[in-house]
Amino acid sequence: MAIKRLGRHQENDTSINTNKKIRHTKTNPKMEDRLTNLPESLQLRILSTLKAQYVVQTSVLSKSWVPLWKSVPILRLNSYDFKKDDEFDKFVEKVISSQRDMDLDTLIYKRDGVSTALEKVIDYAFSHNVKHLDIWIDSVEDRKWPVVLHGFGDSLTCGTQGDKNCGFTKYVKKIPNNWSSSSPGPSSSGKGCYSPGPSSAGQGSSDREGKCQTCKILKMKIKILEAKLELASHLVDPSDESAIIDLFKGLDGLLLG
Amino acid sequence: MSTSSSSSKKIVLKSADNETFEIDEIVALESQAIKNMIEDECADNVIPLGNIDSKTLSKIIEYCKKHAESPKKDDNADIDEKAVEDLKSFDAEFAKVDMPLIQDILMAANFLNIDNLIGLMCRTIADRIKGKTPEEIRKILNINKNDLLSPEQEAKAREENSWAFD
Repeated sequence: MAIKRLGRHQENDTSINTNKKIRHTKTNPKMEDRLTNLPESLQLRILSTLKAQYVVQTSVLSKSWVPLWKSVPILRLNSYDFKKDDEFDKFVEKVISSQRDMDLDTLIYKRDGVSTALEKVIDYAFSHNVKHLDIWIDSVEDRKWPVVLHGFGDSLTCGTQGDKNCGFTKYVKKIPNNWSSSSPGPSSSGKGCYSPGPSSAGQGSSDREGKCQTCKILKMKIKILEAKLELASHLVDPSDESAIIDLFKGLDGLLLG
Repeated sequence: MSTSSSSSKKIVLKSADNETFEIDEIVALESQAIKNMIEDECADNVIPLGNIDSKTLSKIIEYCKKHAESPKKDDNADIDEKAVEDLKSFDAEFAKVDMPLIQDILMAANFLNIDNLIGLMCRTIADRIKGKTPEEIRKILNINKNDLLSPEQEAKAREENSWAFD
């Protein structure tokens, strides 16, 4: 869908470019609204560099800007841009409950501490066929992190290595293939632990498992985990899968208290 | 670079206002569109760019020259950081122009398919509008009067997304 749409605008590009004389004079009273004349693909690229709240605010600029924000391929949600975390959570809630016109390419979510909205955000991302999901949780004070380890057995295998800042993805390739959400997994009980099933919020997790195949890069940065994994990397022989799974079990125990 | 320029192949670009620019082929290759033309062997003599004026074109050539001369990231993993910094500060200086020119460069870069330059111009525009009020943004972007919302329409749009304006 995205390709088709961009393709259409690509065609428009040429016609706009050949039919239009570009003018420079600053004082020219007839100076065009160049940005509205830009192909939508460029408008969206501009919006893709902005934080989500600025993006939504462009919806009152003019007629052609009203619907644009719902097609922006990159969604940047960052709690540090908000005075209070609950303001951020409310904002996120509104964004993910709005109808989107296009699939998502990238979703970046950063928050200081875990919010109950996190699962919904992840569901939202996968239900819009996200290709890059980047989640940063800066502190897990109350150990309520809904451990994503279990629910994302499949999607984790879509993750990539290479981000040296990310303790989580370092271990992705070493998770056995059969270690999916249906397998017992390490300590899959416990309060605050995410378990896949119809009870989960949002679009449903079986949907999530199917859609997460489109996710090319899944990055998770969780400060408390990162520290432990960093430590573990020095203690455990990385080729020893069972040792790592044992270690994860231990970590789950720690995180879930 | 200057040492090889005497022997390297030249490409001539012609702007909408009939000014010609002779540049090294390596500089022209920064444009994916021109690169394709050269590869398809349909770029003999002069390449006419009927939709790009000379002011815009000379800025674009300035950009392509600098970027063609700089070591590419994927060539060598450990290119010295100085070159990267140098290119960054060049880009920052390059973008310090007025909005109409930025938008002209963006349109032209899109036409010529110079991805880095498209990215730079998009980031520049985004930087200038972020955190501004809708009224300020309309001015910065010089939004067409015909495209403006009626007061009722604006109120409705604002109402729908009121949560984003707190």
